[in-house]
Amino acid sequence: MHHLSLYFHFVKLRIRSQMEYRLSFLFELFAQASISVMDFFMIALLFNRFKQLAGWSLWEVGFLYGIVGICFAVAEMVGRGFDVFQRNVVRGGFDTMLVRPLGTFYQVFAHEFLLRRVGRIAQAVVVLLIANSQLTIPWSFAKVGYLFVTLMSGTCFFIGLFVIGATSCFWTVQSIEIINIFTNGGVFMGSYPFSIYRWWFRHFFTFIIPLACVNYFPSLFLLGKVGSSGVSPIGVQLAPFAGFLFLGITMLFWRWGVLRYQSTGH
Amino acid sequence: MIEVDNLSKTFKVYHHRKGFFGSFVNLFSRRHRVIRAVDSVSFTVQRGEIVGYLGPNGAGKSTTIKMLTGILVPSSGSVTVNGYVPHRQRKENAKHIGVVFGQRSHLWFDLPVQESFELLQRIYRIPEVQYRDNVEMFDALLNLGDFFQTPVRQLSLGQRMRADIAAALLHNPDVLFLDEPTIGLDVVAKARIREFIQQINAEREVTVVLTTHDLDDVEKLCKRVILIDNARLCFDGKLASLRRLLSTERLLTVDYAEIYPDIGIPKAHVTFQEGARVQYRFSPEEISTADLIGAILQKFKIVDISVEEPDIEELIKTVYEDNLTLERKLAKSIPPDTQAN
Amino acid sequence: MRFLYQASQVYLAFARKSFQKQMQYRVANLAGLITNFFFLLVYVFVYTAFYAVYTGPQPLNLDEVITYFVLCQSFFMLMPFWGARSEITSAIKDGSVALQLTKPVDFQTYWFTDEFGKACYYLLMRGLPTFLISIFFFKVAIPQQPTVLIAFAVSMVLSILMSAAITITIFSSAFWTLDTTGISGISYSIIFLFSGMLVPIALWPEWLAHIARWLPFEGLIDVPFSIYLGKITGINIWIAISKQMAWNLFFVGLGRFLLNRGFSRLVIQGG
Repeated sequence: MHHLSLYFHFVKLRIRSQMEYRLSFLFELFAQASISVMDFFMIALLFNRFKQLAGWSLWEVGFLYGIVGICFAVAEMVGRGFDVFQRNVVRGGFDTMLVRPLGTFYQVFAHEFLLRRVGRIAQAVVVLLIANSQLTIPWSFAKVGYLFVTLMSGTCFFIGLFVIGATSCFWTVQSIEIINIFTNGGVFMGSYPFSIYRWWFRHFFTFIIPLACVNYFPSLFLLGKVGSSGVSPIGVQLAPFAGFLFLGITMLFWRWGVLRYQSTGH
Repeated sequence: MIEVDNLSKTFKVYHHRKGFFGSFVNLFSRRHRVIRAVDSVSFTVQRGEIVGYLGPNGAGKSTTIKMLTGILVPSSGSVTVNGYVPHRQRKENAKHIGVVFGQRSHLWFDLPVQESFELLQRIYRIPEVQYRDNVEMFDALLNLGDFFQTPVRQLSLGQRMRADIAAALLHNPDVLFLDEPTIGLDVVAKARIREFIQQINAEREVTVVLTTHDLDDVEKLCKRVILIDNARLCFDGKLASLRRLLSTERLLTVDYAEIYPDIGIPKAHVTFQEGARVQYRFSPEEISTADLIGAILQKFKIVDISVEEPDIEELIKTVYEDNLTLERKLAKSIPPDTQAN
Repeated sequence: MRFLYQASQVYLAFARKSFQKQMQYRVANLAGLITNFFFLLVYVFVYTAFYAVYTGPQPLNLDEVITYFVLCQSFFMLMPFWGARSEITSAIKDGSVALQLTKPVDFQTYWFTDEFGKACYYLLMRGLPTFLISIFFFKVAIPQQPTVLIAFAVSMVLSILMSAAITITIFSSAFWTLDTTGISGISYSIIFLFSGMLVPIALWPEWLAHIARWLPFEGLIDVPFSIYLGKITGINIWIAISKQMAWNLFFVGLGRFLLNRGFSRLVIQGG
C-alpha cells in the first residue's frame, strides 16, 4: 500500500514537471501521434493496392497494429525509467537509489513517467476501435477480459525488453542499442500477421522473445482465425501469460545484474 | 557500530580491441585485467566517533564507503553497519544510515528542496512530528529557509550541500557517511558545514565517517583518522600521532648571499627556490640537521638559515604526490596505536 | 585560387574530424547495422507475402521492390530522419553557438562539411556493408548500363546534399523555439511519408503520388532509386535531376536565410 501511494506520488511529480513546458509538451504529443498515423496510413496504402495479406484484411491487420501499438506506448510511458537507465547510471543516479530503503526495480520503475506517450496510445486505441467497428467480433465478457489480459501482458513484455536493455548497462554502456531491434523492430513486425514470416523467424519471436504470444496468437483467438492458422487452441488461450513470465524472468536477470553493479569513479 | 574485517574489492577492467572487426569480437569475448581497489582493509568504528577516512585520489576511499552503504558488493571480507550486512540487507541498512556525496546530489533535480524533503519523508516513512522537528532544527542551524522553495538545480554549491546533508539526516540515521562534503565550497560555507556536523555528532551521537581532501576538515572534526594508500590501510589512530609520525621530515630554509647555479646537497631535496632563497626537505634519520648545515656552509655563503617542521597539510600533500613515501615510512616505524582498537 | 585552395583545406579538415568522431561509435554502428538488416528482412517478408497473393501486373515487380528496400536501408542513415544533428540544437540552446561567430568560417558551410564527414562514414560503415550482405541474401538488381549508374550517383549525391540542407534548416528553428523535438518530429513524419521510405511512390494511389511529385522529398529516396531501377529513363532523368537541383538550391537558401536571421537575433538579444 505504501509502495503504491508512493508510486502515484512520484508519477504526480513527474507529470507536473513535464507540464511546465506546456507548449512543447503539446507539440511533441502531436508529433508523436502524427508519426504513428503515417505508419498506419502506409499500411492502408499497401492494402489499397494489394487488397489482402496472407488472408488478412486491412482491419484485421489494424487490430494487430492497435494491440502492439498500445502495449508498446504504455510500456514506454510507464517503463521509461528502464529505457533511459543508461543515462542515469552514467550520472551516478543508481548510487542514490541504492542508498534508499526501497527496492531497486521499484525505484527505477517509479523514477520516470513519460506522459506525452498518451498521443501514441490514443492513436493506437483509435485504430483498434475503428478496426473493431469494421470487423464483427462476437465480444463476450470472457473475451473482453482476455483482451485486457493481453494488453497487460504485452505491456509487460515490452517493459521486460527495456529491463534487459537496462540490465546490460551494468556491464557495458554501448551495446544496449541492440535491444531496439526488439522494441522498435518488434512494433514494426508485430503489425503484420506472423504467418508471413519464415519458420525460424517465427519460432525465435515465439519461444525466445515471445512477441507472438502477446499479439499475434491473442488476435487469432479474438478474430476467430485460430482454426485456419494451424495453431493449437489451448496454446492460443494460454499465450498471453508469456508476457508476464517474460517480465518475471527479466526481473530475475535484473536482480542478478544489480549484484554485479560496479558504480562509476571508484 | 561499524565493523570491517579483511574487506577487499576487485574490479575487472576490460581491454577493448581496436578496429571494426575488433569491436565485433569485443561483443563476444573480452580480455580484462583485475584491479584491486580495496585490499584487506579492517577497522572498527564505535558509536559517536567522527572518523576521517583519508588517502590520495584513487586509493579506494569511495569504494570503501560504497561497500559500507550497500552500493557495491565486496569481493571478499565482511562488513557490518549497525549489525546489518549492507549489501545483503541493503534496505534495512539504508534506513539507519545517511549518505552524502559531495560530487553529486541525492536530491531530485527539478523539485524544490521542500518537496524533495517531503518525498524523503514518504520514502523513509518519517513520522510527522519527527519530520517537523528535524526540519525546524536543520533550518535553525543551516538556514535552509533561504532556499527552501528553490528547485535543487538552481541552488549554489554551498546551498545544495546544506540541503543534501540535512536531507541525509531527516530520518535520524545512526551513521552518517560523508564523501567529500566540503569539496568546492568557500571558507565560510565549509566552516558552517563543519560546525553543523560537530553539533549533530554531539547532540545525537551520530557516528560520522568522512572522506575528504581538506585537512582543515580533519583537524576541526576528527580525533581519529584512517589512512588508506594504494588500496591498503596504512594508518589507523589519533590524528596527533599521525602528525608525529609524519613530522620526521623537516624543512630547512636558507637565504644565500648570492644566487648559485648548482645548489644541490646530497640527501636533501630542494622543494622550492626563489631568488637566493632555497628550501630543502630532509629526513633527520638520513642526515642530521647539523651535518646538513655543515655541508651547506662548506660550499656556499649564507645570510640566514632556519629549520621548521612542516604542517600536516603539506606533509599529506607530499604523501599524495608520492604514494611510496608513506608506505616506506610506515614500514620503518609502526607506532603502538596503529593496531586496530 | 590560392585563397580558395586554403579555404577548402580548412573545410576538408572539418569533414575529416567529423568522420573520425563517428569512428568512436563502432559498437553502436554494429548494432545499427544489425537493426538495418532486421528491418530489411521484415520489409522483404511483408512484400513477398503481398506479392504472393496478388498476381496482376504492378508498376514494380517483387525483385524491384526488394532492391528498392535494400537501397533504402543502405542509405537510411544518410537521410534526415534521425535528428543526428541534435548538437546543433543544443549549441543554439545553451548559446555556445555564438562561438561559431568567432571562427573565421561560414557556419552553414561548416555544418555542411560536418554532415559530409558523417555521410562518408555512414556510406562506408553502414551503407556498403548493408548492401553487400543483402546481395548475398536477396536477389538485388544491379544496373548494367554505365549511364544509369552515373545518373544514379549524381542523383544520390544531390539527395545526400538535400538531406543535409533539410537537417540544418530544421535545426535552425531552434533559434525561435527552444525545443525542436516537436518540430522535427512533425517534419520527419512528413519527410518519411513523402520520400517513399515506407512504400515506393510507384505503388501509391494516383492522387497521392501526384502530391508527392510536387514536393521536394521524393528527391531523397524515390527519385535516385527509381533511376537505379531503370524506371526513370532518357529525358526524364534530366528533368528529375534538375528538379533535385532546384530543391537543393531552395533548401540551402532557406537554411541560409533562417541562420542569418537567427544569428542576428542572437546578436541583438545578446545570446
